[in-house]
Amino acid sequence: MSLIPKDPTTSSGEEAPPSSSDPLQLALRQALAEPPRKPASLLPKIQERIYERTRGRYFRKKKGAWRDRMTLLLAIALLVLILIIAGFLSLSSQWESSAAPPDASSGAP
Amino acid sequence: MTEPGDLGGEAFLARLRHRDERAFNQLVLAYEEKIYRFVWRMLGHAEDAEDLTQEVFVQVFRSLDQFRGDSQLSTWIYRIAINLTKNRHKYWQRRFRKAHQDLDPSADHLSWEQAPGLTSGEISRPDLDAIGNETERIIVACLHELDAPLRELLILRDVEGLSYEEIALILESPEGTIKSRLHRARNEFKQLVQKRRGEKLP
Repeated sequence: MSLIPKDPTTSSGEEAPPSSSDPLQLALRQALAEPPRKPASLLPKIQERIYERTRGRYFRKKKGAWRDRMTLLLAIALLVLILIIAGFLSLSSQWESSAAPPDASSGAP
Repeated sequence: MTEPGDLGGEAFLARLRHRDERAFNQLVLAYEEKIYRFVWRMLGHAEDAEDLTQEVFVQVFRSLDQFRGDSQLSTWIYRIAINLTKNRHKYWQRRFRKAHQDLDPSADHLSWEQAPGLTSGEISRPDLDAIGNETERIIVACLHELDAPLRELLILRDVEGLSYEEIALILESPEGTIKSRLHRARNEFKQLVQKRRGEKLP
């Protein structure tokens, strides 16, 4: 049984390892040439991890960003509505107090 | 080891430091395969390699401010990958796990101590012939019997094909130390293979 591999180069054509005639080094290179399965690009998973670790600061998904923007708009609209209602209530109470007749029990003529 | 495309340029580094997402995507796409393969070689387990490769790039993203630019970007990424694989090995040691259990997925129910006793007829791996299969298993088993620092060196130099200078930068050790340790690593590796095969190698 020979240790000399049939083809020591990798299929991806990566940088050539140091030239060596040592059969053991060639065999090692061949044994570790390619992983048993190659994953698809890891980029989406990496982006997702960064998104989670930075609490959504980076790599925000478009859908998520849109949802965030809508939530912000709704919150602002709600706040404006509350302010309008509060203003209206305070003004209406002022109008009511200014329109009321003078108190009879105060003895005023 | 050269930087692919324009990834080593100052402008690109500035974009990375500003957490430019498109620049980071470019970086990942340029290095993910190389780093995945390296991590798999170090760990010997495809799923863990996938997980750890993702972790390497998360770490890269988080530490971009710390990259001073006194080495190549790829060297720095390798350094991060090495450190994370070391941590993963420590974690496995604590949990008594074999780091290399699926380098041959067809024999994943066997320990590597058992594997060399197998013949090709006992396992099915059609992509390899009988001789290559057994030889590869012996080689990988012996590699993982080496101490982690020696295994790192063998992989970086003899498999990844990095220069002594690059390895010295990655491992933050003088070149002389790297050379002498590599010599030791090769000798120990050869002895382990000879012992397993029961024959003297040239």
